[in-house]
Amino acid sequence: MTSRRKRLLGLGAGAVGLALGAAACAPVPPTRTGIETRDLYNGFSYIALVVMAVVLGLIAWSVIRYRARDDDPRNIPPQIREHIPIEITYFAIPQLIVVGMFVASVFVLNNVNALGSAQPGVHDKPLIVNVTGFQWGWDFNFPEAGVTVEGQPHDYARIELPTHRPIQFVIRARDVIHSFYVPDLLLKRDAIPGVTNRLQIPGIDKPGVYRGQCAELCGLLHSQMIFYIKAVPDNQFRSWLAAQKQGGG
Amino acid sequence: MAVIDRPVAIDERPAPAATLLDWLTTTDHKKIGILYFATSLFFFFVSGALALVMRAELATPGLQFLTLDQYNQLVTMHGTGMIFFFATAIVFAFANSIVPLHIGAPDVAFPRLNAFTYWLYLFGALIAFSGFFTAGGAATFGWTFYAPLSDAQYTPQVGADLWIVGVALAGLSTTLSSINFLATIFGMRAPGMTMMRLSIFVWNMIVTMILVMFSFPALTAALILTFIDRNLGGHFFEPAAGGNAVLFQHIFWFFGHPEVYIVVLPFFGMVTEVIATFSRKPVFGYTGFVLATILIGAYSFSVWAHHMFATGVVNGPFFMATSFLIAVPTGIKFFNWIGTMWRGKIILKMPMLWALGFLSMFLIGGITGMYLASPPIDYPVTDTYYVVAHFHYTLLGGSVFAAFAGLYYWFPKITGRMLSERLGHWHFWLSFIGFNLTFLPQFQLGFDGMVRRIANYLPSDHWTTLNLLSSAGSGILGAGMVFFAVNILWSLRHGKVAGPDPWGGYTLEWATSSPPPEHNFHSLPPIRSERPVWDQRMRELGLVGAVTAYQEGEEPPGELGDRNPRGEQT
Repeated sequence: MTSRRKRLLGLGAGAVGLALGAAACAPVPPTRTGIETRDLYNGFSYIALVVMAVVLGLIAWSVIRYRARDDDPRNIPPQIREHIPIEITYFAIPQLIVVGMFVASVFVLNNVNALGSAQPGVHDKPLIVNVTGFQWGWDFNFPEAGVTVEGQPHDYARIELPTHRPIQFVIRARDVIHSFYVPDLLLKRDAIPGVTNRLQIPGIDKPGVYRGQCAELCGLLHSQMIFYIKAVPDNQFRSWLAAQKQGGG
Repeated sequence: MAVIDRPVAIDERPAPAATLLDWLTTTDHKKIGILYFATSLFFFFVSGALALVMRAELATPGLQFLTLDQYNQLVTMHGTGMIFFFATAIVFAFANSIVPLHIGAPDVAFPRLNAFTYWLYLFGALIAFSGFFTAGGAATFGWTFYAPLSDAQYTPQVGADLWIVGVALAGLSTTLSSINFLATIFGMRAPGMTMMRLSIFVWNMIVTMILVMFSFPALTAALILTFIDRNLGGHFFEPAAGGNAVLFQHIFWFFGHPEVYIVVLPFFGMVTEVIATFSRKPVFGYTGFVLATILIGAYSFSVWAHHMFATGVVNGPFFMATSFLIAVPTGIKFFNWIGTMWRGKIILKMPMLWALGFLSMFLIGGITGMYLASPPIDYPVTDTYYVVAHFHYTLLGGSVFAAFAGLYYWFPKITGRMLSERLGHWHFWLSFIGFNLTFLPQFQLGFDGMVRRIANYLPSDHWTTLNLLSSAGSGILGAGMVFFAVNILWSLRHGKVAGPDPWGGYTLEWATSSPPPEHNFHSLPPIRSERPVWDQRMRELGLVGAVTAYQEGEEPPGELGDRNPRGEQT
C-alpha cells in the first residue's frame, strides 16, 4: 500500500514539474501584447500551482492519515456534518481569487484588443493587411501597395511583414468559418463569412519566420491551410512589396 | 382428446422468446436502466475505438492509413458518440437505476414514457452512426456542426442528414426523460423524504434535469434549422443569402455549455455518495453543497459565449466574469469532499479509488479551464490541443472516472454480484497511467500551436515526440478498458454474490435486496435524515449517538457529532 501512495505522490509531483518546465522553456513572445499575455499566464500559473498543491495535499493527507485501520463496524469516526466558519472561508477565498484574475485579465484584454494608433514609435499608422480565408488557403492583401499574395492547399501563402511597426489584420472569410492563427505571435481570430474582424498588434519586435494555420475545422483540407509570415526590417519589407507588385501584378 | 396424466414440467427459466419480449416491452425502471447502461457502454467502446484509430494516425507526421475525409468522420463520430450517446445517456442509466431507489419510489412517474425515451435514444444513436454505411460516409463537420460548414453545399453527404436526424431523436429522448425524472423526484418521494433529506446524488440529478429541460430544446432548434438550411432551401445560417453564421454558435453553445454540466453534475453526485460511504462520515456541508449545485446550474446558462471568444463578436469581459464565477461553486465541492474524508475512516475499495482518481484528474481539468475563461489566454490556445487536453481531463479523467466509481459502487445493487477488485485494480491503474500519458503531453502540444481536428502535420512542426507519447498512452488507456469489459462480463456470471448492502451504504437502495424486487421495497426504514440506512444500522448496533437525526421520543445522548460512539469527547 505504501508503494501505491508513493506512486500517487510521484505522479502528482511529475505533473507539477512538467507544468513548471513547460512554462519555463516557452519562448519569449515577440510582441508587447504577447509579453503581457505571457505575464498574465504566468500569474495564473502561480495561483494554479498553489491551489493544486493545497487541494492535492489535503486529499493525499486525508487518504494517508485517515485510512481505515480496522474493519470494526462499531468503531466509527466522529460524525461532523458542517462547520460554518470553514464553509464561509472556502467560499470567500476562491471568490477573491477569481475577482483578482478577472481584474488582471481585463487590463490585458483591453490592450490585446486595442485598435488605432496609440502606440509610440516611428510609424503611428498601422499597416493594414486584409486576410481572407477560403477553402482551402489564405489570401493576404496589402491595400496601400495594391499587392495580393494568394495561397493554395499545397502552395502555402508566404508573406513578409515589417518589424517594429503596428499591423492591423482585417480578417474575413469567403465560404465557411476559418480561424487566423499564428501560434508564436499568440494571435488568433476567427474568419467568419459576413463578419469583418480587426486584430492589431503593436509591432513584431523580433525578426523571424512565424508559421500560421487555420484553427477552425473547415472541411477536407483543413490541415493544409498553412501560411508563413516572415518578419523583416522595414526597408527589406518595402523592397519585398515592390518585387511582389512587379511579379504578381 | 388429450389427457394429462402426469404433471407438466415447469421450467424455472422463461423461454428465450419470452425474455426477449420482456426486455423489448419492459417499463420497469431497473430494466430500462440496464438497457441504458448496455447501450451507452456500447457506444463508449465504439467511440473509444474511433479515438484509438485517430491516435494511431497521429502518432507520426503525415498521413498513415486514413484519408483526410475518414479522419474528419472519426473526429465527428467520436465526439458525437461520447457526448450524446455515451455521457448523456449513461446519466440516464444511473438516473433510471438509482433515483427511484434513492427516493423510496416503486418506479418513475411515467414508466411508458421512460421506455419510449430509451427506444428513441437507441434508434437515434443507430441512425447517426449508420452514416458510416452510406456512400459518402458519416458526417464530417465535428460534433459542433458549425454553420455554414454543415450546410449541404459544404457537407453534401447523406450521412450528415442521418447525423442530424439521429442526434435530434436522441435529444428529444433526453428532454422527455428529464421531465419524467423531475416529476418522479418532486412527486414520488417516500413519506419522510423531504427535499433536504434527498441524497446529494438526487439533488445533482434535479439540477441536471432542469438544465436538460432548458438547454436541449436549443440543440433541437439548431438541428432543425440546420436541417431546413440543408434540405428545404432555408438560409438561417448562410451569410451569402442574408443569414447569420454567428447566430448558430449562440444557439449551439446556449445548449453546449449547460451540456457540459449535464455530463458532470450527476457524476459529482456519485462521487459524493461514494466518498461519504467509504469515509464512514456524512457529507460535509450538505446544505452548502446543494446551494453550490443550484448556483452552478444557474450560472451555467450565462457562460456560453466563452466558447466564442475567438469569434471577436462577443462581449469578452461579461462572459469572462461569469466563467470565473462558475468556478467558485465548483471549487467549493472539492472542500466538501475533503471535509467528508477529513478525520474519516477511509476504506480504499474500488469505488473509492475511482473517486480519488476523479478528484485529482478533475482538479487539473478545472484549473486548466480557468485559463480558458480569460480571453487574452484563450485566444492563443483555443481550438488547439490545449483545449482537447483540458476537456478530456474534465470529461474523461473527471466524469468517466466518476462514472466508474458509480459503476463499481452500484453494480452489486443492479446485478446482485460484485465486480472483481483484482480486475478492477488493473482497470484503474492502466486507465490512470494511460490517461495521463495520453493527455498531459497534449497541453504542451497546444502551447506549441498544434490545432485540433487535423489528420496530419509536418516533421518540421516538432510535434512528433509528444504525439507519439500521447498515442502510446492511448494504447495503455485502451488496455485498461479491456480489463473493464472483461470485469463486467466475468462478474455478471462469476462475481461474488453481493447481498443487500455490501458497502455499508447510507441511502435507501441498500435497504432492499440486490437486485431489488419488481416494486423495489417490501418495507422502508424510517426516513429522518439524508442517510436513513446508516441511522437504522446505528440503532441496530446500539450506537444511538451516531444516528444522524432522531425520531420522536428518541433521546440523543449528547450534542450531535461532538462525541464518538464510545462516548469520548472528540
